[in-house]
Amino acid sequence: MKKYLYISFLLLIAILIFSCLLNRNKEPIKIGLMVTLTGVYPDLGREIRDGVMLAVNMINEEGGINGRKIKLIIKDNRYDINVAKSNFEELYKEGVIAVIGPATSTTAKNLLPTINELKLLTIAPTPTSTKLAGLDDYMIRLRPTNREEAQIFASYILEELKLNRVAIVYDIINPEYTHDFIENFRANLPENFQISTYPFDEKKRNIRELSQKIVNNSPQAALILVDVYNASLFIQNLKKLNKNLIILTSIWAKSPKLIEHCGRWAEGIIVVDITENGFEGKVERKFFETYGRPMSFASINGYDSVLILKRAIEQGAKRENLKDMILRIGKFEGLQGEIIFDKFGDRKVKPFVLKIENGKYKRVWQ
Amino acid sequence: MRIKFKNYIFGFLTLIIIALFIIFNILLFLASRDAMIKEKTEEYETIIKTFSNYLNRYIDEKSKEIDLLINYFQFPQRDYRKLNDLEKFLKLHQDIKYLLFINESGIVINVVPHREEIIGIDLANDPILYQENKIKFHGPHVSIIDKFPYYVLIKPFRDGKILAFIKVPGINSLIETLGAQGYYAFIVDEKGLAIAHVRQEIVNQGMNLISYYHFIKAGITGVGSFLEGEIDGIKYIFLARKIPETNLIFFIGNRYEQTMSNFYSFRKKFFYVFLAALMVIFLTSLLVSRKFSEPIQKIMQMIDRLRKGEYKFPKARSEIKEIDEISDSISKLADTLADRETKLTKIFEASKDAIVITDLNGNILDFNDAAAKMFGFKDKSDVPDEVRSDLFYYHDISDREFILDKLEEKGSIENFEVLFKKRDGTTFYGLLSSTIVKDEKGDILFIVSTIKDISEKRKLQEQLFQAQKMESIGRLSGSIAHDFNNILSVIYSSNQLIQMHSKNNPQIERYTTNIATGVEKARDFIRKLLSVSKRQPFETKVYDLNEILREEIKILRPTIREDIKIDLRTSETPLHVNIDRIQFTQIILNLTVNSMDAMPNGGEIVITTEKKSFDYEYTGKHPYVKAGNYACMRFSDTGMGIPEDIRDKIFEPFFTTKPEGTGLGLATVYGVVQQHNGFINVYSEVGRGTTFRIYFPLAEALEQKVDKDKEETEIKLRRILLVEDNDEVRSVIEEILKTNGFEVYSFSNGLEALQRYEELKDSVDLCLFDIIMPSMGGFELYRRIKTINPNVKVLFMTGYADNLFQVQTILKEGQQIIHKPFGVEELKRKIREMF
Repeated sequence: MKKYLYISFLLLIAILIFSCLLNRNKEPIKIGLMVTLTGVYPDLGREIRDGVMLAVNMINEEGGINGRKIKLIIKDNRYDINVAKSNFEELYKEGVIAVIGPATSTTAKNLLPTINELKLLTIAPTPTSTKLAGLDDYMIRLRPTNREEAQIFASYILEELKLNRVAIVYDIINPEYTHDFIENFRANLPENFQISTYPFDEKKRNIRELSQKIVNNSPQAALILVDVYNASLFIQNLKKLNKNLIILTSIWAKSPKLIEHCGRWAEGIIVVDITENGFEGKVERKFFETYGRPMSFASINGYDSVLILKRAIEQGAKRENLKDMILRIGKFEGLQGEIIFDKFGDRKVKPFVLKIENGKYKRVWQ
Repeated sequence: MRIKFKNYIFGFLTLIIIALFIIFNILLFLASRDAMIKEKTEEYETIIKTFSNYLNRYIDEKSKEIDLLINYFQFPQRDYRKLNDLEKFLKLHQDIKYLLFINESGIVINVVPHREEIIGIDLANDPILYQENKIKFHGPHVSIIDKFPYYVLIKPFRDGKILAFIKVPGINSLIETLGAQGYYAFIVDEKGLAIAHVRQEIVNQGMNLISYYHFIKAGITGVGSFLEGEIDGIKYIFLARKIPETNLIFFIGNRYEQTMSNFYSFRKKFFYVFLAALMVIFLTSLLVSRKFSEPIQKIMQMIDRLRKGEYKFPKARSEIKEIDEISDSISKLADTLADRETKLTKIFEASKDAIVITDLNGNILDFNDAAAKMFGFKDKSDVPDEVRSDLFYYHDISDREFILDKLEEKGSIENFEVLFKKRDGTTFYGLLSSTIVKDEKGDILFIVSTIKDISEKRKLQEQLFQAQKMESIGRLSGSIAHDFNNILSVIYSSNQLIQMHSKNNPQIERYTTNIATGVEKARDFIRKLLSVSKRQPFETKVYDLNEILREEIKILRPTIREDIKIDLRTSETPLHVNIDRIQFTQIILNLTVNSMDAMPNGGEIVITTEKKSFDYEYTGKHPYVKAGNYACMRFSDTGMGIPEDIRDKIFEPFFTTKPEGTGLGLATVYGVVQQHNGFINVYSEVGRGTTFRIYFPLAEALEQKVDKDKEETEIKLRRILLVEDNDEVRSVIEEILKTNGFEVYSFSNGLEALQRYEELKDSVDLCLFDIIMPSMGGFELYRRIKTINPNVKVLFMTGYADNLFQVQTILKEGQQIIHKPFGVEELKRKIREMF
């Protein structure tokens, strides 16, 4: 009897020690998320955050990565580069294995020196500036660059729409993206192609005025490089002035909200993207159940960012070698297909043209 | 691991109190929780109700305000497209930020404050309008107008609708107030989006709380009255309620610990009670354990004393019956053990054999007094610790190794003869028996050995061996003497015949004289040999040992060297012994020669006599001694002594240390003494001298008369019956007898002689028989003839006497023995003695 008591006692001690050791090994994996959640352009960041959050919750519900839960540490950079740097350093100190973000090219471009200095891998879900590509840096991007998107746009305009006059409205607050895009767009068009550009400052609230100005110049199409809210107002105003005007928008405005806010003028809007709407997988359904809205490209990219990190960590990656591991793996299963990186961590993907038809984005070219 | 009784009691009672503490905690928790839920439900419901009332009143108010506006524009002259009236309205109602007028198609007709780009936009697909049919007041929605979130109140207006974008005042301040009061409150919409929160940034960041906190969904769907959830690592309890007329859900709660403060407070107090209880338990356990442990301690003391070998001690007494019973049992056990140990100790100590207990390394663990004495110590206490190892006591250490090997192989050995070494270095033979004692597991505990001192036994064995050896030598020498004497007889007798037939021939006479001298020497040698082998028939008479010693010394003294003094110290009383005088002379002579040789530089010989008596106790220890009275002659010299290593060989025939010795001197002494039923021992110390003690049985004194007349008597008998198996001897004796005038009837064997005796018995005066003959010996022939003629006279011839007892008997019957070789004169003398 006494013998069993001793054995039980020793067993208890052993279990306690074992569980302590186990818990020590089961400390959560910290992942940082640093996007714009408040301020001028919060939507893209919130979409990314919700996609990331969904992925984290789903992984944790299934037991985590190698038995370790993920702890997501969220930082709001308030679309301020100083805050973004500060956020990034805080995440570094908190010991995150990687950072997901930022959402915009301008923030990404300005943050890149800090990222490289701290050598903390960053997955940028949405920035597309070509200036971020082809660099041996610590940033991995999930979007094609403006070069690819602009090229597709240009090809489509030339080959399918056969246009030769396009007006471009661009937001001056995100120049790294807009200027880069225009530059690449222009580069893919013949010299005789007429492009008129219209800088937009949200504070001026001159959408109607600018729209009138654009229409007055009789472009065949208008390419809108602003966020979804302003894009919606531009589209409605432009269409109201010229219902035949072909509307092209960048990925920046591509969101279910564009369809909601554009009313009947949403039909026929042309965008370039790498994801399609109407895809109803398990994750998309879960996202809809949770947030009450469909996934956007940003939330998809946010979700994919976590999947990439999961795969690399499962393969034994640590903070120090995460970048090398991801590049070595090279190919990942994303929510909507394979994600393949080149040696610089730039995603190799060809965008295609979508058009809103019957209230949905539909792939129409390439 | 063993625990003390006190700790056991303490542990046991502590476990019970801990168990009670846990059970009480659980019950207290459940009761407190129920009370808390009841209390908090009322509290939270009141807050939510207050807020709901406020919001509903606000909505009603705004609704009425909009209704008033609509009524205002009922009149056609009041154009809602004009901004003045509307702007005035908004100034009056600053919480209404925008007023939108849309037509039936969802197209914005007017917006106040004016925004040109908003006029004409299509809101048909905007989520703001989705909610219209469900609730009149919803939001907040991020407005396309300025990207800020607003609650929206929609009212039908003419063909279209009027939309009021409202910033509801007080929601956040209310939530903040609740936060300041220690509440954790927030509002979410039906999708989980944070609408108001104690942490404003959560609202600002547009966080959907469903994906952060699991309990949110349960609150939205209305599952469960109370919700437990963890926010930033802190546990909270919430109550969630839907705010009527809205799509909003109000969550309010407190920190878990705060909510259950009563429980924790009570538990804290109870913990003090628990500590107090522990103290009481400790004291109780001390008292209880003392109550129990004291008698147990006494019992333990009893057992301890028992273990130390004390068997007499007082019984432990307590107030507990069982303890007393144990005490009684131990006491009985002690008596039993004492009895058993006494027996064992007595056996151990009383044993004449040594009993030694050792371990495998040879360390002596215990031993009895007999062992101590056997190895030269006075007793056990005389054995120092440093020599308590068997390694000290083996003469040859290889014996020990051999014994250990055997023990390991067989477990025990029996009667193993070992030469041991005593304390002083002297050795003795011991008969060793050892057994390995093992415990239950088979591990060796110790080795028990018994040792019997067999030195004395070995000595006896050696003596027996010596005697047997002497006997064998005697038989051999007797056999030789027999044949040799026959040969000598032929030579001697033939020589006599030659002397008789060649008288007056000086040259032959010289030769025959030489032959006769040679034969005499040979006969003397054979006589000595037979003395050694105790087969020399001799003629004993009773003499006073003192008297004959004086005569011997008198004769001897002139022959002793001048540097040797001889001293005779006789007893006061005469010591009569039955002794062969000639043989005795031989003894004295041999001993004296021996002593003189041992004293080359002079010395002293002392001969003393005394009477000695040996009882049966003595003879038991010295089997070669027969009980009775003895005349002891002690013959001592101050010579060089006899070395110990040759002391047991000195009586062996032909053993000599002298270059020219025959080795028969002491052997003769030994043989003669033995033949006289006496015994001899020797004590010698090298460099100091040697003492021989010779014991002769005392005899009754007899008057010895020598019939000298017979010497002169002429032999008248003439007819002799000669029986001799040896043809040569018979022939030569027959011729001698005939030459000397005897008539001889000669036979070569006893049977033939016996057959003829009946007819010859009257004509035969004397029978001359050889003692040893094939088929029928001389004695047997005599016994048969005696039945025919009881007065027969027989003279036995012998080379040696095989059966001395018969010889003695025959002598007593008046017959005589003549030793071969004998001469005519000797034969005649014997015949004269017989007649």
